[in-house]
Amino acid sequence: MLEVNNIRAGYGEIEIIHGLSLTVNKGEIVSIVGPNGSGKSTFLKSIFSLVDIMDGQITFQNEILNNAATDEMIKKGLSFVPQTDNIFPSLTVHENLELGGYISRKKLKDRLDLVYDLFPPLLAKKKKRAGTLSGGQRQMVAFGRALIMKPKLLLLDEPTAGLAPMYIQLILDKVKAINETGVTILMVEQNAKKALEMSDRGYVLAAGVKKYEDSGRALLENEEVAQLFLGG
Amino acid sequence: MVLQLLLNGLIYGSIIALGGIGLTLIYGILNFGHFAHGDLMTLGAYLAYLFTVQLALPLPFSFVIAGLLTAATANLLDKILYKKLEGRDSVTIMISAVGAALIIRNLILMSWGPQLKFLERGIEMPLVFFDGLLRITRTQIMILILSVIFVTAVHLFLSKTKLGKAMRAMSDNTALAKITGINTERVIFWTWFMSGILTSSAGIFLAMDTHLIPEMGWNLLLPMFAAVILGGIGNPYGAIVGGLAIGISQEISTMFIAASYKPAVAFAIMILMLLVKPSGLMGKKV
Repeated sequence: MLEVNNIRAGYGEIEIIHGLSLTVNKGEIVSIVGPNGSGKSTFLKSIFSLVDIMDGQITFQNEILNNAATDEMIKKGLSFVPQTDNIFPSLTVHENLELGGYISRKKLKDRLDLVYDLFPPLLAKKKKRAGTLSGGQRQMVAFGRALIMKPKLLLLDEPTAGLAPMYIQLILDKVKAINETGVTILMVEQNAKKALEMSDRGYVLAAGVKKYEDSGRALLENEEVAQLFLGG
Repeated sequence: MVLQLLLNGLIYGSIIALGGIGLTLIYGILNFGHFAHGDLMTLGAYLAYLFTVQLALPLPFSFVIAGLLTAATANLLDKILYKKLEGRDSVTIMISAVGAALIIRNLILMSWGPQLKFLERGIEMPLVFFDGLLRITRTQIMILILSVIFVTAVHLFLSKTKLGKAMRAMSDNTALAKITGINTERVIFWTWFMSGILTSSAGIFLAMDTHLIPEMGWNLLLPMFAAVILGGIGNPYGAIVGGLAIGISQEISTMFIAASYKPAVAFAIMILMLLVKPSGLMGKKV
């Protein structure tokens, strides 16, 4: 579904990703893990054209994606949830979700209903300003906004970052639930163990290059990976 | 006395609020204080003077044409100046806005001269209520009614339409708006356009209530910024509340201090707010 071939990416002149490749197959959950500063978020952003790609190629369903316009990517079926500042705080929960359907309002009502089904706590708060919600609920709003367009591939940048421990498992369970509705998931996650446990496949990055690539289970069982990156 | 001051404050506050809505949206969306906003307001008022007094066209017609021309000027400023400075730091853009303000003001000065001008001839007899405690002219009643209509229209636009919601969203979080697929260029264009219409209307109201001078809008810039900061930068509803609060407190203050200190009240409120709650009454940072 998604093929990333040997890309170099970064900000301006500064290259952060030094030739990374990755594949995501339809229906999978794929995690990218690695220490802080390993470039995992930058890598995810490069797929959604949020950082400059200097070299290499990204294809999605056999179409070249390099530096595509955002609305084009959304139309093709990609959606991105940023790590922080991923809601519109002064807008209501409902307005946040509605804006997810900004580029096409066809069947918006049905799609809103689906999101409320997936995240029942949001229904009771639909008229509340999103900025007043708890961290976990904000994350649901962020997911919901990204899901309104029924994406084929959802890109999640550290979905549990900054969340209270009680919400971490809840949000990861939601990721699993979203995947079960048929959405393929590529996520960057700092809770490496938890992420790999639920992933079909995983990539371990360090300093902008790929160190390991295997099934989630195999990476968890790999002693070297465990010692170096999963805290023993 | 209090009643009269309250009324005056309400009228003055409505004018500040109408100007402030555009100022706060531009601040929220483009991240800079638009120092030429007051002079756009002056431009609207002088264009209305041109059409109503010099060309003897009906006021409602002049009102609309002046609004459209001011909006076009705002869009032009964005196209030839602010858009070119995109990505520069906000101080650079702010100073260029001060430059634009000086150019507009001096063009007005060149075209119409420095003398006081009036949109309406003759003195209008006010309606008197409560044994003279409250005096209000028909023009003032019209300003109040039109302000309510404008604010309601802005509210409906911002809360019900796709473009309006996108405007609020972009003011909240520009990066996320882009990720969501919002056509940010289109939102920016209409933000300038709407700000132009609103600030021109505010200028015409001020001219109808008082008179025209080339500094009229510049003088209102400080109270407008105070209203924007009071209400929370980027929040159009905050600007409305802030505008009314500044307008009313400036007028009421004349009961206690000399009227010439009125502008200082806006300053004081702004500084107090920045010290106590910099995000404003209805600030977006929660």
